[in-house]
Amino acid sequence: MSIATLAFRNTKRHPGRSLLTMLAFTAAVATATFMDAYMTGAVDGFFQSYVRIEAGHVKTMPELAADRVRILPLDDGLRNLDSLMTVIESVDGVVQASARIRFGVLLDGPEGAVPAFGTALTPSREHGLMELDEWVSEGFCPADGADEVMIGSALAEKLGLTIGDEFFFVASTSYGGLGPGVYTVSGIFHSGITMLDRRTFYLPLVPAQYQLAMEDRALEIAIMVEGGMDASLMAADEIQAAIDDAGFEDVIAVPWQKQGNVYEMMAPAQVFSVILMGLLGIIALTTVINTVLMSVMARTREIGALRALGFDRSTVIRMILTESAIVGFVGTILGLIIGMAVSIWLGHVGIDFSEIVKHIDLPMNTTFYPEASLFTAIRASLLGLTVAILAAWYPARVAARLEPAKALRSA
Amino acid sequence: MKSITPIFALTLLLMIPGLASAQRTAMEWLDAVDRNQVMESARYTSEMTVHLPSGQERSFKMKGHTVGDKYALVEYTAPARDAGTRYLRRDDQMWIYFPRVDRTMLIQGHMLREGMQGSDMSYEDMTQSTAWADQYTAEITAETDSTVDIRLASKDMTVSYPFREISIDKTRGVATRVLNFDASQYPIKEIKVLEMRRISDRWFPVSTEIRSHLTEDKWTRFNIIDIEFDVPYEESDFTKAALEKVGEF
Repeated sequence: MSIATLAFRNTKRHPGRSLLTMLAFTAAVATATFMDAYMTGAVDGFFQSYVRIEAGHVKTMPELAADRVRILPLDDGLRNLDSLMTVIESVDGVVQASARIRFGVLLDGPEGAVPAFGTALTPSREHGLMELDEWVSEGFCPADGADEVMIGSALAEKLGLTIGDEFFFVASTSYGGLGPGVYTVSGIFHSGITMLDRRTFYLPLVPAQYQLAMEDRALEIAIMVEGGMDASLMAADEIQAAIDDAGFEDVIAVPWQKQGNVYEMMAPAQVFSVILMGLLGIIALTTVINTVLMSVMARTREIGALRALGFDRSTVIRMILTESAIVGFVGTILGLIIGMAVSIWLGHVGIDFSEIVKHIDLPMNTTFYPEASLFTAIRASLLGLTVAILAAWYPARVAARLEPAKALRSA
Repeated sequence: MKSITPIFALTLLLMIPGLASAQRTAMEWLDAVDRNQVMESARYTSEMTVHLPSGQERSFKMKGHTVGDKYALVEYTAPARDAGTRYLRRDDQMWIYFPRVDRTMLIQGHMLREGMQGSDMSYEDMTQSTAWADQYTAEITAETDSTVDIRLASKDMTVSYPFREISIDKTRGVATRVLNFDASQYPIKEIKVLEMRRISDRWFPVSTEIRSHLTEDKWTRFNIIDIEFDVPYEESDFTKAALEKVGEF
């Protein structure tokens, strides 16, 4: 009889204990699978939101503004905007480029002043970038050049504005004066990103440039490139070279990873994921060590008999390890099925945290979508099988050290 | 003895203005400055150049009408994008009328201390003419033959500049240099008189430079082109209706 057959039979001799061990594996692997998918989805979702609403794959901005990503002083803008746009769009691999101006403003609400952010852009140039159309919940997106605005749903509610209403505000101009503007509310949007829905309105670039005294200027150009997020580092170098060749001074092209410290800020999330996996492994390990050790102790006489029949120590070790591997394998498969199924389902419907974080301004989507992939399955499987072998090692060594005569005499 | 007396008398006579000057208290110097610089009412045209740290400069022209620290109305006449924009000050409130969009906006409170058109002159600086002697206690810190330096401390710490250091031209009674401090006695802006002119019966600064101590390489130059004092305005000249009225104020 082979070791594998013997080990397999042993797993069926104490079904309750084997089931308990298997469930420990299942729970650990299912949790690890889900958490891995969740963390991957959360980090990717954050980066995608960041690229979409803020950074583009690459952003062109004045050199002085490189460390101030959110709101820039208007007098630091990019000049000769039309020429600069032509240069950028001529670079191979540039799919879309859109000039933007972000500015802070205090709006008059029924209950007092409401701080808000305006983002001026060319809506038709935001395909592949902001995709404002996807967020429209009422009305429509402003037309290029029209005196129209689209307001975040919570902000519109706070200001008591609906479609067709007049929207008057005064903003600081590029030279520090006051620039008045009157717009019509053409649309209300719901992005699911708390900060945008509560604080932001979008308006076309051309009237905003006049209002802010920034004709032929913008604060930044968000650029999407072929190859997506991974291609941004190389694309930024090529765009920078084109800008330099065209003679634009003090203008830099920065890939999304190097804008501000958002990318570095998310590094702890990756570390957290690894730590979580490690903790789950330790929990599973201790549970499995316990059940396998109990199994070995309960079979002292039987192991003694096997040793008396000629099983050497290494054979006993292999038998115990194989038993654990079989249980671990089944538990891992079950855990993977459960973990992947839950992750894939939640990956479609999302986990909505908007109620929990509704009072916090977060520059990211409040619905997280776990991302289960082949790598998720491989990482969780490795965890399960490694724990199965490691957890059985000590009990197997204990079993192998048993003296046949002593073991046979034991109760 | 007889021969000495006329010389002694003449010397004494020559010393009298100096003695009188030396005996002036800080508050008397402030009164002298207020008599020259406070406008009970005035009509003026002026120009303002704002130099930004980026090296950009913008120039504005405006017409102003003021009644002490109660009412003021300022209208920009240039550049074209700001022409017609009017500011009405009534006590602690200010309305701004934008003819381009035909809308009026109210600002009040701390907003009145923001720079007007990005300049180093706040809305309060531009539209208020208050006697320092009413607002501050004063102490002479230095004195020469031609100038006297006075440190002012406000009786009310909520004013724009709770502390000031001023240098007064003793001959003309004009504050030629003013250093304004915040409540923690940190210097925030410095005003230098570049030119003063005798207008009616007073010496009045007609060209000043205001430098921010908070932003490097930022300054504003303010020139009075012409000014007429003691204009008989009515309170009804300073209403929202007057602010939004089409045509000349």
